[in-house]
Amino acid sequence: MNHRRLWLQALGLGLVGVRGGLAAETWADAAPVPRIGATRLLRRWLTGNARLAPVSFVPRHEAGAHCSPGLLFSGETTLGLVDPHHEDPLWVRPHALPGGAVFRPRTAAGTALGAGRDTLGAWRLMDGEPLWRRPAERQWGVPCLSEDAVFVGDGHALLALDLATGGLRWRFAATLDTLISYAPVATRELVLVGPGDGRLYALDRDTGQLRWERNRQDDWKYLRQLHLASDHLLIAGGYTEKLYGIDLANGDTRWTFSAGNFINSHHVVGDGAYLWSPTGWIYALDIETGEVRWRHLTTGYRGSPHDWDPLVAELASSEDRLFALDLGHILHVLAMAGGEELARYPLAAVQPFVTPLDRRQVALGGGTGELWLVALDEPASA
Amino acid sequence: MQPNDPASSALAWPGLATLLLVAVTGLTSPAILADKPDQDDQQASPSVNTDWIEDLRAGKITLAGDDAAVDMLILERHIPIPYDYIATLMRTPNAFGQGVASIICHSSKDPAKSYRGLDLSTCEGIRAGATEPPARRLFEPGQPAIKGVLGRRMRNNRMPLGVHFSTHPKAESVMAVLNWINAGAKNDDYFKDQVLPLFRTDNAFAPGSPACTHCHMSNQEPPSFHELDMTSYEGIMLGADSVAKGVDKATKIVIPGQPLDSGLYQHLVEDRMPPGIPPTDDRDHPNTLILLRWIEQGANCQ
Repeated sequence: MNHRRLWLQALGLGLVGVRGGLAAETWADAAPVPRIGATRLLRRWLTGNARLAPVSFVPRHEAGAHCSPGLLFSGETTLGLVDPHHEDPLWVRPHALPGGAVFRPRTAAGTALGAGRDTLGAWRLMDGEPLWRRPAERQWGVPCLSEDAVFVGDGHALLALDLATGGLRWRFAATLDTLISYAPVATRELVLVGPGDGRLYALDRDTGQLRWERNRQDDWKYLRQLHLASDHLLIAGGYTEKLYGIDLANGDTRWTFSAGNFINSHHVVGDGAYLWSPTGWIYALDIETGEVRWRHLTTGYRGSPHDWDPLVAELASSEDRLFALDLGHILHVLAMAGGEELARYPLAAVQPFVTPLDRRQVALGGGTGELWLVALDEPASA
Repeated sequence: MQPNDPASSALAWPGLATLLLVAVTGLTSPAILADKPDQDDQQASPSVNTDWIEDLRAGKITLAGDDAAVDMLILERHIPIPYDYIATLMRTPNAFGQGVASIICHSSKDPAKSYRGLDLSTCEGIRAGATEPPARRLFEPGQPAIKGVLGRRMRNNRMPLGVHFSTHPKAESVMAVLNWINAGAKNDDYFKDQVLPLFRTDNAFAPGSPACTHCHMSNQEPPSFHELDMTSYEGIMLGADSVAKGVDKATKIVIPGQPLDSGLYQHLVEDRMPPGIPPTDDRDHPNTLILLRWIEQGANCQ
């Protein structure tokens, strides 16, 4: 870490080119010396926030009239949309969400949803026109947007809201005095949610009626993040340090992977699931079998200058690359196929998220609340 | 990229799992499987092996993860753990992960010869716990063991994560936390001026360590580790894992007036055993699970 700080001091702002600085040092664990890549700041936007929630990439087909992909941001004060090709934001609105927007803003059906723990708010994606607001009865969890609906926890209840109006479609109550904190997921027929009561509920998407439930509190205690791998497979992280492949037809567990320490978040893309655990490994699993395809040691906790700091930021990916931003403000880029670290990019202080636009460009939140578009140059060959 | 290392202790367990499986499934040859015990025999002499065979027949057995064999063959079937096995563990290097055998450091009730006057070389010594003042037992026989002293020392990584074993646990910052809890853990000026800022400051509790709030910043996105918010008095007093247990039943990390019982203080001063074991080692090592099960079964010395 001290080594890293020296680098940052030398870098000033930090988003300047760096090449080769670590190459002369020995890599204590006999792995290849990581290559240092250069970053170029392509664009920066003032957002009116000191802190940003993770930024969402808005694909071209959702972005609307300006016909270009966008980046949707929110923080403690504002919510806005930028076009990566333009210096000025497309729009920025004070959101007036009490306590700020603490969840990543999400989009569907031409609508942007900003979320704090106390209030949800919706804006028209095209121009930021406010659409509706809805206070929580107790506390909002992480929302899930799917087509024209919002599925979101409010205390121990799961609510289905109309995305266009914020009106209530149905309400499902789980166990009192627990929270639905993590986002549900929705298929064409089901909404899956794992509240703190140790159950996994599968609800009818249209009515909220219970289709099936599985109580595995003794095993997973409760579920954290849920991600759909397909229309038939759910990948769920459990409190008890395991990742589960769950059959959506009946809730049967197809496979279990034990990480050896907690799994805070996991990333599912294509036929792979990726996670980091404080055991110091990033794992890539086959989503159909749970088998380990590869693992990458991030730290041996032995004080090597090449050790990564812990990962709070969720893993992200684009094309064939996996992006991991550690707490030391170093962005690591791994090959998704084999897990080798292709390059690492020291940054100035950034907030704990990375949003790739493609394999060479990422959006980052500056330490003071700016939104940055950064190009990742390929490091010189060793 | 590091390929799976077959020599690592964690991954050596599938080998043991395979041996155990072979040993048991050796009794499940087609001839024996064809001779299903009749109902009367089953009722007259319940057998763990019969149960196992039945579960194999029914397709209930799925081995997943490195510790699956121990889970499926021992823990889930409530096999009594003999003290002989515990004694062996205490004498065996790397029994719980990388590290020396437990009895190297804890072999006598004499504090001059053994850390904390803890004797792990005998069953009575294990049950007695640390004899050096302040003496304390490691567990309550027959009770859940995971939150007891021994359970914590075997499983919990000291915080901040990765802090070196040699870091002095009575650093000024740790003492500030101790004093605050001792004084009742109030939301007073001392807390606001002397304690809360520590959680927001890099290197506050150990050189080269990130601030607590980097990982425990609130329940938002990205998810806060253990859904713990150390940015505010309210978050600290709410505790960890409130998602699961409800606001009223969250794992309290601060017990006012009782720092030794407070997870916050415990995590700052208690090193995971064996000394120097890195957080990379699975904290639910199969032998750790067996040790904890032995305690929950009454820590029988026979």
